[in-house]
Amino acid sequence: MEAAWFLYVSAILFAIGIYGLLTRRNMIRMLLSAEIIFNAALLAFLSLASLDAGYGPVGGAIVVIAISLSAAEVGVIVSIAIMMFRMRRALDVYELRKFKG
Amino acid sequence: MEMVIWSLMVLLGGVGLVVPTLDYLKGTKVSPYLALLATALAIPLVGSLIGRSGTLFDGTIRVSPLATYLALVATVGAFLVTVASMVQARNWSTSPSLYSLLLLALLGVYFVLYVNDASVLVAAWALVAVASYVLVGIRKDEDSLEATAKYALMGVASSSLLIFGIALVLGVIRTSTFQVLNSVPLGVRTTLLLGILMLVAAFGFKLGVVPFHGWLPDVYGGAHPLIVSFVAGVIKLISIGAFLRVLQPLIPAVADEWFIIMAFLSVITMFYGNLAALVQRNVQRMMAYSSIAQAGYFLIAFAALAYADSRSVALQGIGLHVTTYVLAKVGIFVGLAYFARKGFDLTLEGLSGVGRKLPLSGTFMAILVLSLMGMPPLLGFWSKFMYIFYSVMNVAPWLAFLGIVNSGISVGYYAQVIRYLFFADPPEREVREVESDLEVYVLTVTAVLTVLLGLGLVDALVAALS
Repeated sequence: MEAAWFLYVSAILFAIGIYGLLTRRNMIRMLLSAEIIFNAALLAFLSLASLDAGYGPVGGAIVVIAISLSAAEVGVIVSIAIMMFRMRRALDVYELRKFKG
Repeated sequence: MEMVIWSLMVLLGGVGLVVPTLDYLKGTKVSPYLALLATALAIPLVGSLIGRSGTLFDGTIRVSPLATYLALVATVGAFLVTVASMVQARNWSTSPSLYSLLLLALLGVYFVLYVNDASVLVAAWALVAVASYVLVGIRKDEDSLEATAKYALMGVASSSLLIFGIALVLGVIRTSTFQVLNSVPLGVRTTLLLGILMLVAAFGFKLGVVPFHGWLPDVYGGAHPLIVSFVAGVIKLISIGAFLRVLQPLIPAVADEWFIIMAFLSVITMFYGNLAALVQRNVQRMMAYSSIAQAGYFLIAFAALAYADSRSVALQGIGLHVTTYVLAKVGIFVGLAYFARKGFDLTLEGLSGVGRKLPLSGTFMAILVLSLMGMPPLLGFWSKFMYIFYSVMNVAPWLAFLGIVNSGISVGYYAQVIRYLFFADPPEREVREVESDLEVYVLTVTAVLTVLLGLGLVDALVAALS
């Protein structure tokens, strides 16, 4: 079954993304890691949708919706990163930790 | 019914999109009043859907009594936050955007609560998520910068997990509509479970369930309390709505695993939230950890959804506890915003004797805290003890027991707040409540509703829910 290979690639991308999200501190790098997870999800979505002729086009449509909406999220996060760089001259998320729990 | 949804879209979306343009370009200050009008009109509009059920828009939206009830609670919460913001946000340079985002996020909350199709879920989730990142950072100061950076990064991870979970679940059920799934072939059962786990993680991020809670204390503890009252009181309903609409139909196929996952998550969430709250000195951060603990109580009810004989009580419990939670969190955070505006520091010592200087708001604040704690005549007692804990009594008494133990632990910090509010020496300076303090009215409404619903309207409420 060919879809299985795409799912393996998707799982590897997912692992790379989670690793990046957990180990990186730079905001842009964390955003890129989250985007890798997002793309892994889209790949899994499309490869699973391709298995069923009836559901396939619906899955493709949802993927297109998801891609266009994630652009909005990326836009907001990049603007937050710009605001952070203007105020702090750094993009380190954890250096912000002013409050101690 | 389609007309009602259309009117809500035009009312909230239209006002939300037009108002900031008008205010920024023309320099007028009409946005607070229009937002107040829009949320006030939305209450009867949503109210007209009470008791109705059916699918709309080619099956992408499904109206049901419980979802309508949650939408009504969300609308009332948004209305109260808007009222409080008239005083709080008056001098913010970004206040037109604040009102626009409040309305758009509320619209997104409706769609998540009524969702019946994956495409609507993705769109509505993104609408609420993006609006809430901007809302948290809308003050543009250092505290909200930290809060919004963490919230947005965790949020984008949560959205990615959501897409991943939907991909796996839809790959198994082979349709984009969420419908009841009684059993799956053995070969794809693991895929379905993996998808459900991803969805639990995605919704758990927004709800503040423990392995995914890292952002919550910084956001709820760092952002402006007025914004937190909206994020904690209204936006959090999207994860409860998504649990009910997206995951609940899948439960029968994986009932036993579902119960174990939910019970485990609820136990660690409750203990973490309550124990971490015990050591806080900052009341706003303490309430943030109390939100995590409340998420644990919700998870008990979600665990009870696994079995047919506990399901109906659990659904009623979720509806009732959402009422308790929204009234209490909106009231408490608006109250904290009020104290901060009156010049009090939001630490326990800083709030010493506030209840004596500001007797009305102090008393109502204490009532809301007691309701979260689960004091008998108040609404929180009924929702937490008589419905949520009771719902698991037959299937897992130990889970109900651990919940009661946690309620006991929580008395430790809730009582601390009341002790400092009333039994510590008030500051020397002169502060008084005046008639133009709109926050006091919000506190009055939430506290009076908590008492009234607790005193006798619980039965009527439950009848409306089922």
